[in-house]
Amino acid sequence: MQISDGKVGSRELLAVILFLIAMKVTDITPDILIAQGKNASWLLSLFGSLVVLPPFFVMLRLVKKHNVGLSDLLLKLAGSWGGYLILAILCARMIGNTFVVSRSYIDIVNTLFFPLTPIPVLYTLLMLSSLMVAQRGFEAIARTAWLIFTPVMSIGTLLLALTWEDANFSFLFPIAGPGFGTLLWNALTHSSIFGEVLLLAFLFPYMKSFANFRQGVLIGYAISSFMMVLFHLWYVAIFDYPAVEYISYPYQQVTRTASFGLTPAHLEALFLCIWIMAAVLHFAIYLYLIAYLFGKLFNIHEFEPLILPLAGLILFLSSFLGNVTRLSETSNWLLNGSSWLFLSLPFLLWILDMWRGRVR
Amino acid sequence: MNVYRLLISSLIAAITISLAGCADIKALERLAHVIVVGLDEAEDGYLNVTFQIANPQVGSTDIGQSDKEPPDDIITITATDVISASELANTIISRQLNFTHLQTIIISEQLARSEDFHEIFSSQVRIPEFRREMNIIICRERAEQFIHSNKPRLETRPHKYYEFMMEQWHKSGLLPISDLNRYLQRLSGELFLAIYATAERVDSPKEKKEADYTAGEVPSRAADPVQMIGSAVFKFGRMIDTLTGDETRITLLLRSSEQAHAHIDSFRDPLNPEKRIGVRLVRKQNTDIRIDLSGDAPDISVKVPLGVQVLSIQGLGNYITDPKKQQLLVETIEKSLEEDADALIKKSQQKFQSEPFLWNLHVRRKMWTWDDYINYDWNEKFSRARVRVDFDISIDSFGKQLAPTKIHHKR
Repeated sequence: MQISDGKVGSRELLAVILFLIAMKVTDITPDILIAQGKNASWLLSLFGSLVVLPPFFVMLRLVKKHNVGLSDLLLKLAGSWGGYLILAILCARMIGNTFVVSRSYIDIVNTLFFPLTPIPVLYTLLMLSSLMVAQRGFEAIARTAWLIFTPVMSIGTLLLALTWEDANFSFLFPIAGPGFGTLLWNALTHSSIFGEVLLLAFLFPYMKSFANFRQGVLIGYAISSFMMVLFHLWYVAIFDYPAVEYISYPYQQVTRTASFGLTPAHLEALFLCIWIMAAVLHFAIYLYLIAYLFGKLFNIHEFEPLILPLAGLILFLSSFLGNVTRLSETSNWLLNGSSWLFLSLPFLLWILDMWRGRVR
Repeated sequence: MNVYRLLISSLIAAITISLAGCADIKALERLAHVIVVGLDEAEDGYLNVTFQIANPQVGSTDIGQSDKEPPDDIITITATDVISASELANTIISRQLNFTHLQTIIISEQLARSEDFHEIFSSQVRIPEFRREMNIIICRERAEQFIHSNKPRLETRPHKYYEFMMEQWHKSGLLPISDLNRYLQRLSGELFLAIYATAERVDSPKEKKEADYTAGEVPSRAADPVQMIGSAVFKFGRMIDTLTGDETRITLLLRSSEQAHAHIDSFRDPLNPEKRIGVRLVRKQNTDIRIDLSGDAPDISVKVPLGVQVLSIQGLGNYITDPKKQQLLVETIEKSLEEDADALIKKSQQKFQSEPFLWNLHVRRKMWTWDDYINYDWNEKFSRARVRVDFDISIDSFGKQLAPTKIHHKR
């Protein structure tokens, strides 16, 4: 019996974007943004999300015009050499990014919740769970995402409600933080945090229609950006600026302050539970994208079996690392480098498109 | 079918095993819950760490098995930090020390005033068990002694004592809210107020009114030895002075919106200067704070709207029907509060050279960037600022008595 056609609607895509982008506000991304944006890190993330909009719309336009996914678009417009080169860069970037970021997730769980459990065990568990989700295909990922979309949003709202008393919005001033110039420049160099939304154009072939794709991406991106800005605002309002800079994993520390009235409730286990589910999904999306890019790069049509060895590769890479702080330079380099890539790629394709149109 | 059944049952078994929690397994009945930690200075940079451990069986229905056990156990360990002390404590206590129920940390005044207090204290913050909502209490004597003498008669279970006291603090305003989060927020020159407490009795230097006491001075004959009133003043992460209960309350009233929702106070009766009038002061709105930074020294004007409920009139003057006398009463209360506030502001300008009123947040609103704010040097500017405090008093009610009851002599 055919239950599903394997295609995905706009609300599932919306949820995928939430777990791809908004999830970052709960890991070490805020640490990076606060270091640059001081008490105005919320403005920094707002600018970051706005900066990505022009390339984002150019990409939408190109996808609509040619009605193919990004991988076919790359091969069509940039030629086979150029197309494969860009695919290879993106694939390498995704592998690097995944193992750098996943290490930070493990660090959070290890430091705050399971200090005695060996790191390789935690790492294997995370990768194994993500693998199990990713291997069932993009449709399964998208449906899982939509399934836990409501719990995640309600738990997020609950967190804000329970910490409302501790938040003091006077801490957001001086409003410009380090000054608008610094904010704008850092919004450009850190735009890859939001720019990853462009990668979803690779998954266009799985969508029911272009209208579905556009609607899902736009709403999903709007919700994700809103969550990013809101949580950054919240971190500063709860901890105040000079103090927030010394905090690692602000999201987890906020969950520890959640309380019902005056009685400390120690609710962080509840938040941890939902957060772990979201983290599994976050890496399932990453793993799937890596396998997809890898498959396109080497013309492997059945790419889903590749997820297992690729997850193994990331696990293997992670065993070389000492601790998270040694990664910060690599992660900054990745973040800044790929920002320019994400910002320029759609424009590059656009110019190529116009040029090819004129030549023809 | 059998294969599926086997698969599902093995999956459930696997989940059950994983629930045990790998290496971080904790068995509930093997834990000893620490509810209070006390910190004292020891020699050579060491700390005397005192743990008060609750006995969860006392005060519960399970008491039948353990009616000879005390409600808590107190041990003191000398170590470099809290975690190594807790490790050493396990040489004495049979159960594993657990900090999930830790809500209160007690620090001796001696340690709080020592030069490297901030280094000692903030180095403990790295431990995940130290939560940012933990209450900080500064005690006059050694923390160890304080914890030993704190035996509240009405609470069998020790953690209830701090929980209930906390709820009181939020209302009365005699004590500041002092948690770790606020301590860490106020390290850049602004003043941090911590709860001040003691189990000792100190002779009060002179006759005082309602709450003009610091801990230990409140005249009382009670079996419970601990008094908590007033606050310890911290600047740059080090204790520099204390404020009395009254001063703490005025500080909280001068903040734009914090605790001190309603409190009892008494004022000199303007019609009968030897007698006093007891009133309840209710905060009606947020305090209005205006700061003008245009001049060389800032101009600060503060308006505190308060409602008055008259509770007792010792002098038996008739205020109820006479608006002129009411106006006199309002002016007396305003003048008295303003004098107190002026004295406190003068003290913070000259003695502390910084302010506990969180006015720096209002200055931050007027700044464009963080560098502007740092360069402005608010603490230095504040000590030269012109401050004008207005208490805006209105009489809301006179209690359930129309006129004072008088003794009628033979007619």
